[in-house]
Amino acid sequence: MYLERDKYFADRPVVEFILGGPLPDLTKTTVFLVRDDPNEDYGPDSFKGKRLNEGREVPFLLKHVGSNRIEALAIGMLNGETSDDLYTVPSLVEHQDQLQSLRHLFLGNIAQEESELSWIVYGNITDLLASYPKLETLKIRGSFSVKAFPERLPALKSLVIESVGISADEINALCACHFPELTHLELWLGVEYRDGLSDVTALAPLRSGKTVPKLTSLAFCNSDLTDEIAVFFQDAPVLEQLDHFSLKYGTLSDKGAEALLANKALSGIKSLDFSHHYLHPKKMALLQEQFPQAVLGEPEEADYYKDQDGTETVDRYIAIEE
Amino acid sequence: MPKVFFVGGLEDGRWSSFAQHAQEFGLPRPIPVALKTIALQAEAWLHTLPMGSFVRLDTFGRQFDSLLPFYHLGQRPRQAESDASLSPTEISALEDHYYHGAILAPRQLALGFADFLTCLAQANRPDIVFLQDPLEIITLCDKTACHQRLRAAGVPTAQALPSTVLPQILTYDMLRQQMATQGWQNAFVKLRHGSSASGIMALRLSQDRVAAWTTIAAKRGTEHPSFFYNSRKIHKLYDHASIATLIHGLAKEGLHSERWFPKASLEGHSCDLRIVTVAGRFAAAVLRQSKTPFTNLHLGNKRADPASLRAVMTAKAWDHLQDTVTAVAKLFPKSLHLGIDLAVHSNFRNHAVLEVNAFGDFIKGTSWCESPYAAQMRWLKAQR
Repeated sequence: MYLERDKYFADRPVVEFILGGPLPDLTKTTVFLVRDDPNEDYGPDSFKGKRLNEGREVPFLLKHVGSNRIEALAIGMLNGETSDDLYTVPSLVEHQDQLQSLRHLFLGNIAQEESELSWIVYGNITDLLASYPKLETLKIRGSFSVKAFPERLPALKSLVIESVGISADEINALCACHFPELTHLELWLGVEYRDGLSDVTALAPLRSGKTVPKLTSLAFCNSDLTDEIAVFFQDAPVLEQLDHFSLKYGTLSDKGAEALLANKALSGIKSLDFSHHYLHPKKMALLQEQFPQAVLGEPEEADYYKDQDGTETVDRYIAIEE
Repeated sequence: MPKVFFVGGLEDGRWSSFAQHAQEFGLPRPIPVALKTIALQAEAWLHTLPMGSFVRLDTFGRQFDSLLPFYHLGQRPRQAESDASLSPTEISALEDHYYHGAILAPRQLALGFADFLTCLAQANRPDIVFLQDPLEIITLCDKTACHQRLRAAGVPTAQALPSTVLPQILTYDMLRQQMATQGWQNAFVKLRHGSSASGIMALRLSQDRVAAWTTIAAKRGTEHPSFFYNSRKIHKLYDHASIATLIHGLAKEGLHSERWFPKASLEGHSCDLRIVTVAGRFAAAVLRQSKTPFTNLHLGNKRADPASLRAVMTAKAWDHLQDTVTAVAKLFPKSLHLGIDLAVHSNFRNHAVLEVNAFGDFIKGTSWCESPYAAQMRWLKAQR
C-alpha cells in the first residue's frame, strides 16, 4: 500500500492549477490546488516563497478563476514540505460566498511520497461542514477534529475519510448526522494508539442503516478492529441495502473470517473486498468458496513473539499506520 | 577485429550474457579476465594486451575473494583520511564476517577500486580502448562526486546537503539541523559508495516527528564492521534513537543526502526510470514501480514499459527528459554505456537525475531496444 495522488476525483480528471497556464474546463475537471514546485515563480502577488501558506492559496485561486465557478476542488500540499495545514479549512469557510458552486471537495490529495498519512492535519472541520450544505462529495485524507456534524448533510452522496485513526468523538459526531442522499461511505478507522476507535459499538447507527437510507457502498478500511467489525456487522440491517462492502487494508484474521462465513447477508452483496488480510490459506479458500465475488489478494505476514512465560503474541498491522 | 577483454566478476551472469551476445552478433569470443586476478598488477596486465584491444570493465562479483585485493589497495588512502581504515589483519578477518548484503567498509573498498582504476588510466597504453574510461568510473562510483558533476553542468538533480565531505562525519543531529536549515522535510540518505540500494534511507522529519524507510538493518550483539547489512525487507522506523544508530554507524563511510522529492506515481506505485545509454544515445529503458520510496528492482519491485509514463507527460516534458539524458551522457563521454536513474516529479512536468551507474547495463525487461548489450555489440561491430 503506497498512497498516490488521485488522478480522478468526483468522476473528473484532477488538473493542477498552474498560474499562467490555460484554465481547465471547470465543469469537467477537478481543480487541484498544490504548491509543489520549488522552481516555479508565481509572481509578486502569489503565494510563492518559503513562508507558510497562511490561507493565501484559496483567495489566490479565486482571484484567477473567478467567483462561483469551481465545482470540484482538490487540495494538495500547500505548506512546502510540511503537511500540517491549519489555514486551508478556515480559508474555505471564509470564502464560502465565492464558492457557492462547489459540490466536490477533497482535502489532502497528497501521496505517501510527499507525507506520512498521519502527518496530514486539517484542524477543526465543524464550520466547513456547516458552510457547504450543497456538497455532494467530501473526501479527507488526513486528520481533523470535529465538534459536531450538522444535523443533516442533505446533498452529500459520497464521504471518504482516509486516516490512521478516527476518534470515537469524530465517529459519534458523524453517526449523529442524517445523510439522506449518501450512497458511498468509506472510513479508514486506523488504530487505537493513533486516537482510533477502541470499541466498534460506536458504529451502531451505521449498522442499522437508519441514518444512511440510500447507502449502497460501505467500507471500513485500515482498521485494527477488522475482526471485531466483522463480528459486529453479522446480519447487520444495513447490509441488506448494499451492493459493495469492504474491510480492506485491515487486520482480518481467521476469527473475523468465521463471522463473515456465518454472515448470511453477505451473499447478496455483489462486491466484497477483504484484501490485506491475515487469513490462513484454508480459511481463505473457504471464504472464497462461499463468496466468489470477494476480492482477497495475498495474505500479509504477521509477526509472532513468544514471551518469557511462553505465551505467544501475534502482531498484525494495518496497511498504513503512520 | 581487435580482441575484447571482459574484466569483472565472472560468476554473476554478466559475463555469460556478454559472451552470448558477442556470439549472436558474430563477434569473436571475448576473453574473460577475473578482476581479482589483476587487481594488484593492473599496469603489468595491461601491458600484456595486444595492440588496440578493447577492454570492458565490470563490477567485482559477489564472492568475498573478489573484493579482498581492493580492500588491501584501499588501506593506504583510507588511512590517510580516517582512523576507520582496516589493517591487513583486519581485512583478512573480514572474510569470517562476510555474507551477502553485509555493509563492509565500502569507503575503503571504493578507494581501493579507484586506486586500481587510476593505475589502468595512467599505464602508458593509449592504444587500448576502454569501453568505459577508468577515471569516469571513479566519479560514477562516488555519488557525491557524480552529483557535483551533474549539478555543475546544470543537469536537473535534487539538491544535496553540503555535509558529506569526508572525513567529516555526519551525525544525525547535524543531518537534522541541515535539513531544517534548508527547509526540508524529506531527504534520501545514501551511502556515498554503494550500489543496489545499499545503505539507503528515506527520512522524513516534521517538528518532533520522524519516519524513515530503510533497507539498512543492524545485527544485534556485535561491534564488528559487519554489524550493518542490507535487508531485502524494507522496514519503517519511527524513533530518533534507532535512526541515529544507523546514521552514526554508517556516517564514517560517507553519506550522501539529497532532497527527497515526490516521484510520479502510476497505478498505485511510485516510479522512476532506469535508462541505459550506449554511445551517448538512448538504448533501453525500464520503468520501475514500487510501493515504497525505493524503486530498485532487486527489492521485488515491478518492471513496466516507460511508455505508460510517457503517455501521461506532455511532449515538452518528455523532450526535456530526453535532453537531460543526452546531457548526462555528454558529461561522461568516454563511457560507452551508462545506467541513468531518473525520476519524474509527481507533477509529471519536472524531473531529476537520481543516480548514474557505471555498471548499470545488465538489466532485464527493458523496452525500446534489443538490450543494452546488443546495442554495445552493434557499436563494437562498427569499430572494425
